[in-house]
Amino acid sequence: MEKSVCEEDVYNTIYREQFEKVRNFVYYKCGDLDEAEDIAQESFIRLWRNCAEVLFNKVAGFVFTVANRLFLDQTRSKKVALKFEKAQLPQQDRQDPYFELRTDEFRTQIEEAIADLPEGQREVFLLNRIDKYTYKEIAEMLGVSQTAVEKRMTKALIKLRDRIQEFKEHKI
Amino acid sequence: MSDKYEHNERLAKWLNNDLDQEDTDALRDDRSLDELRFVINDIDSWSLPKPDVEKKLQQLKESVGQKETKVIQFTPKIWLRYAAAIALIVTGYFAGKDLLMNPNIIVETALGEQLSHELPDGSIVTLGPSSRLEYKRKNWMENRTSSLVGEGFFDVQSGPGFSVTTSKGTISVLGTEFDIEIEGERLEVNCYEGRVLVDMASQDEILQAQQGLILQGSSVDRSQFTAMAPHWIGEKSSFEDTYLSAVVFELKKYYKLDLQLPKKYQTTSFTGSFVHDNLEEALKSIFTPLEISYTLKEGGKVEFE
Repeated sequence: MEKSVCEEDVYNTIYREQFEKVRNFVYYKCGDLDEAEDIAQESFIRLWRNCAEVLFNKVAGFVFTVANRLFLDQTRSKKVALKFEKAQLPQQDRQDPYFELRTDEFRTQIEEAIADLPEGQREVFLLNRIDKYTYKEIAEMLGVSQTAVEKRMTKALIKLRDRIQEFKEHKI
Repeated sequence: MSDKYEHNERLAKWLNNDLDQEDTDALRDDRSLDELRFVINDIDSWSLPKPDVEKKLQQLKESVGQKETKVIQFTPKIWLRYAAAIALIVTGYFAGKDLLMNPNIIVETALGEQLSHELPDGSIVTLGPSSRLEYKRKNWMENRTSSLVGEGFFDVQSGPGFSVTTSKGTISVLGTEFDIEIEGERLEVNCYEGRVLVDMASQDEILQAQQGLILQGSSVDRSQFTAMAPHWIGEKSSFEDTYLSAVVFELKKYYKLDLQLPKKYQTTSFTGSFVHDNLEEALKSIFTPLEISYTLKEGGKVEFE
């Protein structure tokens, strides 16, 4: 017997597991945490209202789709700025082969490079790296093929690689 | 040049250690990939601030009006402590029929009248002229829903779900929503503080502070503004770069007038204000700066040359 989303315990569990992920997903698109929380919340309200129609194993697809639609309904500025919390850098050590990549300046550049990625590549990259979703899961969430996800991921990685090389060349 | 990476989505697979032999060979000895791996490892440790999931879940429960749990019963106090007022203005111009049954509280204003009214939870609504607000006093704290015809400025106390129903849609402090389908002509919503959700037949919009929208027919235009309160609050109405036709529309709410604005002036832009208690002054302050000649005759008849 399939679990019903309308049961409060089931719904609460889904909420606790998924809220942050949906919030992050919207944040990668819009770069505004407050707005991302509002949209995530609204998506879960829709889930509650439609709990009888949404199958338990289709819940993620439902909330992500609703969140994406709510996001699209908003008018917004084109430029997205993303900020992440990062661990402190270790002490500088010139023996370190990645010495020049272990600087705040470089990290900021990478953060900008990610924010500058086209939306499709940015969300795939961050869902995979920050939220640890597999390509297959992302494909299901976004309603595209796994190959499409891998293509976007590859493009994002090429851009990052190029940015690293650029950074190194300017430093030398 | 990037082809060796893009072929077969190699880089995506490389990241997953999921390459077959041919692809492994193609990427062998590429030192730039070591650096990329290093950077990715760093990115993997990045994070975002954790949302307060339990609090958000409680808010959600309150806003969907679910049966209360023990925890939720304690929250009104907490809510008050974090009280941040949310203000919005709704303008619906249309000939509306009474939608609700009595026994309800009805607050009405006449032509040229303005009225502030305190709702049971301390929220304050200021009604513009020729407007009407209706709500149920009973269970107000559980169900803060009212319906508006005309113009109103809402200064809302924090708490679960607050919404205003108009003929063109429902406006709520975020966290609530309603479905509504009523006919009418125009809906204007401006948010001065906080966030509100406007749920219209065709679409939903979320407004943040200093954002507004106008729904006319099926088209929705969004706007930005800097005012702290609507133009009609107080003893005069102020306008910034507004069509003269809209200014005259507003003027007619305060004075009994027989005034037909000639077509050529309809889209003239007006910046300024008019007072609510002196017709001659009001007309002068609108038309003189625009160099439009007019004569005011008996019975509020205004003629243009």
